[in-house]
Amino acid sequence: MFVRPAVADGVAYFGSCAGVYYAIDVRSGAIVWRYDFRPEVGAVSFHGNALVTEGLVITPTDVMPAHVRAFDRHTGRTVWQRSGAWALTVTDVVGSGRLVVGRDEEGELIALTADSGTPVWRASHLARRSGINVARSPAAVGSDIIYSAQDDAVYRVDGATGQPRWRTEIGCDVTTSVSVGEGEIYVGCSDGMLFRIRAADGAELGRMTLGHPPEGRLLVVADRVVVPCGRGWIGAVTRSLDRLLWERHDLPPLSVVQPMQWGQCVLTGARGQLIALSLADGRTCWMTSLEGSVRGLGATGDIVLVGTIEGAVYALRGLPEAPQ
Amino acid sequence: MVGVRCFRLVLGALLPVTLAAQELPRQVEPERLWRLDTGG
Repeated sequence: MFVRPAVADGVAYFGSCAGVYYAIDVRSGAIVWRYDFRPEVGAVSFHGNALVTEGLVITPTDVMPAHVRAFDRHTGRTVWQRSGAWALTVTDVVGSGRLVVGRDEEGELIALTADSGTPVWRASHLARRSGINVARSPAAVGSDIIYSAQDDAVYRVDGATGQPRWRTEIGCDVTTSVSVGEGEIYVGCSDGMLFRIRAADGAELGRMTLGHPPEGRLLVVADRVVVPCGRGWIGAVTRSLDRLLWERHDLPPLSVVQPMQWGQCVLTGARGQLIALSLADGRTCWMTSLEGSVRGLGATGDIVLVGTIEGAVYALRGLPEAPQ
Repeated sequence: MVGVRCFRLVLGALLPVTLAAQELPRQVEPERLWRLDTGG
């Protein structure tokens, strides 16, 4: 399980890299429903996070042709699907009444209606080169969408129409998803630079050189931003990007690209270990041993869900939320 | 005296980072509610 499981009403929704989509009762582990994609489309995997609405769970898949599928989240019945000659990877599904998902082939974003999957706009103005993928997933701010494109810029568009509100050139290749916190946007670049942009007008508020290209999902928590950088480095910086608060480069190679807040800790992982680091100073809060390489993380209430590259998914309870 | 103060300042600045690399991680054993093998 690569993705962050979507959780609603005590049920977790996630796809496995073996091609099956699951709805699991979080407390009991009972399978509420499952949908096997393999007879229909062959090998399929899930690398973008799903979106849960009142009645649907809407997941992207990445197979040729990739598609987006909306299940009735109570029964698992397919309500709609949207496919095309899409290439290998799509992004997270984000948004509200209108939702967007990116496709890799031409670096294009497509907006669909959430209730029926009807295409309403395409962000074709952005695609100078290909390369939108799950690592560069967009984010929703209100009814607007913010995304990075490989014309070295960040865009904010009207979610209803796709019309740009602003474009901010940052001059380097964005390597992270867009992370949003209290009216600010954070993205990282291939040259090791981290950017802080005002969501309202796209003004650059700051930048910081890390020396390590950020990769995956930045985690904005309170006054800081946790930055994963590949397999060997994770750190935290101030939200104003004026100071490195802590860094860890002594951990085993990290297999989590989407670190998750857990109380006063941030969860990451490696082969055989779920690792909690203190948000305050980066010290190891605790570790716990698991079989396989930790990949996807999710949580609901006092339960942490951990997916591994090898396919095992664990539900754990009783993990400390503070440094021990 | 100035030298000692400077040394303390430098040490104080470095301490949070260096301590992070020196500590011993604590292993915890949470309750495993369930495990699902999805096959990949």
